[in-house]
Amino acid sequence: MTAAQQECICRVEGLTKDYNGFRAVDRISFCVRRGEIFGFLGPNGAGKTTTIRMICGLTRITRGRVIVDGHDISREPRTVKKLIGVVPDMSNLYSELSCWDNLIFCGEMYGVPRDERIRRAEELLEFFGLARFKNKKFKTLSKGLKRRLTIAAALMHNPKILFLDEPTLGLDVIGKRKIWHIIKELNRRGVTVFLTTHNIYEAFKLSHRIAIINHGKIIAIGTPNDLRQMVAAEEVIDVSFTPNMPSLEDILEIKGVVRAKIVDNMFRLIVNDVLEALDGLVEFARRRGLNISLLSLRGADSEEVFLSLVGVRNA
Amino acid sequence: MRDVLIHAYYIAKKDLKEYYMKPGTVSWGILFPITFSIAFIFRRGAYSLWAAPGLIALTILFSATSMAGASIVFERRIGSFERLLLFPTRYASIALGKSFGGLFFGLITSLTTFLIVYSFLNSLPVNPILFIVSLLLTVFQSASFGVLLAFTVKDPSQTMTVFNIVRFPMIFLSGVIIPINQLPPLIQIISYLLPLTYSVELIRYSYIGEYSIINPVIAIMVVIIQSIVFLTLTSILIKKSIP
Repeated sequence: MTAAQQECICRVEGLTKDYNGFRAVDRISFCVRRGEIFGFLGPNGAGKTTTIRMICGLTRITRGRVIVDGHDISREPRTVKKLIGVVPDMSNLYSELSCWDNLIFCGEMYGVPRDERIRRAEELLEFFGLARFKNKKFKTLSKGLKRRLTIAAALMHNPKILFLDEPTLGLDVIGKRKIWHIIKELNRRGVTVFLTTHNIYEAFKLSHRIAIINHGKIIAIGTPNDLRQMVAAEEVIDVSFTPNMPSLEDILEIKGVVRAKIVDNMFRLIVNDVLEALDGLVEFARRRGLNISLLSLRGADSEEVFLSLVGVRNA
Repeated sequence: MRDVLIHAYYIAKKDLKEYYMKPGTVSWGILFPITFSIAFIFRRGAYSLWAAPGLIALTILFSATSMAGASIVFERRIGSFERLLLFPTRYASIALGKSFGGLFFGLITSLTTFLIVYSFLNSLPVNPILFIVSLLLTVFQSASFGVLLAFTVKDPSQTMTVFNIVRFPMIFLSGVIIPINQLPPLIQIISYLLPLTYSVELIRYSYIGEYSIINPVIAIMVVIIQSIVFLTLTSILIKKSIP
């Protein structure tokens, strides 16, 4: 086994899932390294949840294999389930049970000894800011608090790797930031995190490495900086015209413009040759009798990197 | 095996906290069978002593299946059933745990029905030990039947309808209110296929010392075998539910 393989806590090899002739996940391979936050980014329907479900044993694997800390999920499902913590995309704890009872039940099912599960539940309620809701029923909690308790429940048995499926889905800005803080803090304390999300900002902000999946295939994998460099040639020009704005279709005809969209009453152009695009813009404005009222230039941000990698032209 | 039982115990404990006051469980599991029993005892007078064991078995069937069914259907609907599949446990633990919840609930309601029967008829079972064994076996059989039934229902909103389609005919065909040997021979064949028939015969023998068509030793064996078969089939269905 090579050094690179040794540091893999979760290795996915040629993972494939077919549903009645439809290929949802297509021969994907990657490695999650011990101690990292691994982002699994993709648009809705890309195959993220199917992948996480196969890794956790909730969906059968058509082909390929998943090795977690040396154990194959298909051959040793119960051993793997002891090693992993899973937070599904919905907060599905038991509604009539209190926060405390939910955590204790999870501890019981993972075989955590009695004294240990009491200590762990108290610790987690404190860490997640839920101590004062200890005796509240799960169904009475707000969406954000439910999410926090669902993550806490997945940590009751001190898993080696935590799988989070869209952890901030449907939360407000404050709720999102609280979860982000928790994920970072957990990782700082040594928890390896596998994070699936369709939120580009979230993936780039939290992850040490990111795999981008689209149509069931991994199209790029690397650190956020690696991914930015893959589209390093691309830059962003924000431009506005007076007395009137041309159409998006006309703008896309300008030489050097890769993608374009309208943002806040101006055009945001992704270009791969700035000089050519600037020349084209000036020529375009002259030809149409327009004035350029605003023009700014900067490097591509995470959203633009993502769109470029998944090949979306005018989103 | 020890792990299977421990996990089943935790699941049952959780289910009792979570579901014992759900409206479906209370109405179909407690109110209906007890009201039915009282009404029947009042109406049938002296004939009631013969009918009482059948009513106790019927109470068990309704309460144990309702409890087991409610927990599975509710959890499948809101997605929390998947949580059980994430735990490092065997499918048999889940099937058994879900049955244990129904078992406890069935035992409580059957004892309540027994006390109602006793207070009206002032008659104790002729073989008290066999009566207790019969109750336990019947409760286990009904709970495991309820769990299996809940897994066969595709649309959770149709659960009680499906449950009642299966349960109501048993009232008339399993010897609860009509002796099986008085049914037409063709109908008696159906009676042999119904799980409640064996528990009614068993409880009746332990309570009043007589049975209709099934020897109590055979009834005990069939009830045990049926319980094991129901749980095994449930475990298979849970495994098959993984896409």
